[in-house]
Amino acid sequence: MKYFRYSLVFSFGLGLILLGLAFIIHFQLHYGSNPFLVKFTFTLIGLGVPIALHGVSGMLGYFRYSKVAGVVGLTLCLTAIVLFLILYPKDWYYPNVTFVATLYAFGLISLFGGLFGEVVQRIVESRAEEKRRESLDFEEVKFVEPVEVPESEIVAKDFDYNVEFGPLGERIGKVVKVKDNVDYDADMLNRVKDGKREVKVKDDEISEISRILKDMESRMKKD
Amino acid sequence: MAKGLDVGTMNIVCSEMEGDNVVFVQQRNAFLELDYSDLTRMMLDNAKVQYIVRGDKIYVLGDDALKFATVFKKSVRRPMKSGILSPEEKEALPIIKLILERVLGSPNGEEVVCISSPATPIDSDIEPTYHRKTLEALVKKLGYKPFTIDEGLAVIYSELADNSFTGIGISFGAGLTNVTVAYFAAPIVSFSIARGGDWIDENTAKATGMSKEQVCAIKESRFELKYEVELGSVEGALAIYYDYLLTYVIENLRRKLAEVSPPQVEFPIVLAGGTAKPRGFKEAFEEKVSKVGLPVEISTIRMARDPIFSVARGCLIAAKTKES
Repeated sequence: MKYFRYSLVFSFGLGLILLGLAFIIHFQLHYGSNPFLVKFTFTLIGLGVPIALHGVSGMLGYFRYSKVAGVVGLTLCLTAIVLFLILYPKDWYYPNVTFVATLYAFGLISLFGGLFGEVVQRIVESRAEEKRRESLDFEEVKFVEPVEVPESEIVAKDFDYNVEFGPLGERIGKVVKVKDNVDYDADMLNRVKDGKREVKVKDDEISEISRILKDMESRMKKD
Repeated sequence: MAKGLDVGTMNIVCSEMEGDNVVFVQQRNAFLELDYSDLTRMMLDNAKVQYIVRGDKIYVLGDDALKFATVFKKSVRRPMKSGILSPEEKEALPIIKLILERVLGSPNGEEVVCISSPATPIDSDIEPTYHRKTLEALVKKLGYKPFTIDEGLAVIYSELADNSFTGIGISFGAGLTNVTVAYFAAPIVSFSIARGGDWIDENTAKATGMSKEQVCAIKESRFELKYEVELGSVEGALAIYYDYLLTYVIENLRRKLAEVSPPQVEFPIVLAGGTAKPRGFKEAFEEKVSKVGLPVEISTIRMARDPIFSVARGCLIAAKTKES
């Protein structure tokens, strides 16, 4: 919501600037134009620029550090516009023009400066936070034990079958008898689980060990 | 006493020791729904068929469902799809419970049952926890003490005792293909792929214009996996989809192994499951492995002693260890 509010402020500022520019073209403003038209047009542009900047600040959320700079910048810009409205055209000459223009420029510098400072501050903070997280992750991986989720015990209630069985109530199916004894396999499985069995290593490893042993044997014979 | 239970999309197999024999009880995981009539019931009674009556419906269970499907010109339905309980089949739970009751029988005291469970697929959003916990609950309700292991691990338990249960077990089922790589009986990698025999049947049926049942029948009876086939034939389409499945499985196994650091030992590969039964399957698998290459040393590639019963046998071995 906050984002949309400030995007409206930005659009409003941009609209004022565009309207001012349109008026300049439409009225073909020059030094000798009607003072009301000049005042009206440049007030629109003069207000539009700081308002648009304020909208950008709001959209990006840069208010933590730039709030003071923003307020100061806006105040300076508004003061300069008010002074322009008072002084133009009768007292609009040196040094009043320079004074008003400087005031307005300082206002814009304050607004831009605040934004710039905020951006730099955020970048520095995010890097510091990243480093902190990295160190935290390492600590967590190092100390956290794997968690085993206990399996729930489900007790099934009987279905409401309401069934009636046909013939042959006992076990059904194709029966195959094989002369076989799984006791040997079960015993082996228990022994393997107890660590009492070995497994064949790769042939190339055996060959490598044999080669080393033969090499040692031949050296011993030579000695 | 201990029992192993392989609950697959196509078959449910129970295994147990009886003296010096291992007894496997196998039943199709399927049913046929018929409208109730005295005539139908009398016919089923005369044929000594397993059925249940529920409301105005008669459900024929297991293998009999397949036999009677052609008589009544109806399609069989399956309580499971893609390796887990079918969410589209409202009768799935009652039917599978009834088949389990009939295949497992009644327990003698506190019997341990090890149930095979699919691993989480890497190429679909299927989550097998609900399926696993529901089966455990159903078997527990019958009076057994159930626990589950991955299907691929069951193949390793069944076939690789002499290699200290170190190796790669692959179960090519109807709904899923389950793969486990184990080192000293401990799984290093375990995953499943949402493609299996049903995927081959469906795609071959689409390609050739035949029904899935016809394709399945040809696949189970006379199909041999070879690369010189007649173009346009069912066998040709089956060979194409088998080839695609094998490449897909081996490529995914290669990727999964590359993610871990497997121990520097020799890994034998054992192939099991109904989809691995056609002649020439092992040779085609070997050829694909040599083409794709795996980041571990493969000592041998062999078929399970009985591809259909391998998972159930592995489950029985696991149950035996719990019993002792």
